[in-house]
Amino acid sequence: MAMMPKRVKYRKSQKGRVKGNATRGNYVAFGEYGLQSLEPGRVSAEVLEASRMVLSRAVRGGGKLYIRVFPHKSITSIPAETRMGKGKGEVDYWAAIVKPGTVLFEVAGIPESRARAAFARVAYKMPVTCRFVSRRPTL
Amino acid sequence: MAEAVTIQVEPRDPTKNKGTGSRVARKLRAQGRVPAIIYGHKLPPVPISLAQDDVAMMLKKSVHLAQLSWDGATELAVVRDVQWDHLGKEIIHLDFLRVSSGETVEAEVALETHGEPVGLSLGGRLEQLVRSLKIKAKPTAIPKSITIEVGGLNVGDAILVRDLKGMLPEGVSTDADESIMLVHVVEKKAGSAAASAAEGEAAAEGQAEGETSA
Repeated sequence: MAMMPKRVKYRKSQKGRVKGNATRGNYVAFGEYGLQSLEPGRVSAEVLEASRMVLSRAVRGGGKLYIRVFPHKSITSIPAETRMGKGKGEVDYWAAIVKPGTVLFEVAGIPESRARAAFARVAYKMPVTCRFVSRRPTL
Repeated sequence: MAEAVTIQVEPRDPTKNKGTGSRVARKLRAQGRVPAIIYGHKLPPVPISLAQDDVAMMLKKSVHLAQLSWDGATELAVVRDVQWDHLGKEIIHLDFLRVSSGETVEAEVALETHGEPVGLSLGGRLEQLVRSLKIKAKPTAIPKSITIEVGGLNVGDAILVRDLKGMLPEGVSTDADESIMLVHVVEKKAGSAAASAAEGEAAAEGQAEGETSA
């Protein structure tokens, strides 16, 4: 089942705008390789779940997967052929807000070639352009 | 043990807003230079800039210690802080701390593993929990990295900070909590899809907490 919050204070949220760059969660912190967003946008829980399935298959047998984003934001929509008004629509799906620099997933314990291949498949599913990243050197 | 690299730096123009500020820094970066500052030893801080190639060379060599020279003066300094851009592609600012060769300084050094644990062949998986360690050493004794020998680890075995004593180079010590686990060999989970799904979800839930504490 796709990820969603267990409990929220308010069911529906305003649309908002994604401004600026990621100032936190923008480096590989837990694993060895990661997938980084280069654009602002929303990643739905469905896409995250599909990506998780691809990555968990890649790390099976010796690796570890870290999911660095969570779909905290509810996205509402109104049904087709509905007249204007009558209030805000119902929650359609949940999404994670990502900014340029946000690290979406990390993996550890697998070779770079395998991580690259898996992240390439995941990047294809993403609604934002992504790039493969590895750990920053310690200085 | 890493030798100090000699880097030619330029003090920033003090006539223009003391050579500091975001506008000045942006101009320097456009010219292929990295703004930096030197402080410590109760002397006034000096805003400087250095070539991006020199920074790349320091990164490549994993050198913490630098001999900074400008206008005939030289200062021995260690890298205290590094600021990256939001994508982690480029270094946008460096902090250098003045040091003398005799004093003990703190530095963050990468941890590397060496060898293949015995437990891997018995169905285990090596997990490295800590990637870098804060050490104390004389500037010239700061190693590029600390290598942890993991060859003898069986399933369920771990190496803690207290086990590092024999592995630290001479003249290097650490104040880190002795009970912190650095690496361990854990048993592989069953390869079922359900197990991996549960693992992924657990990682996602723990992520928010992990980020706030990071």
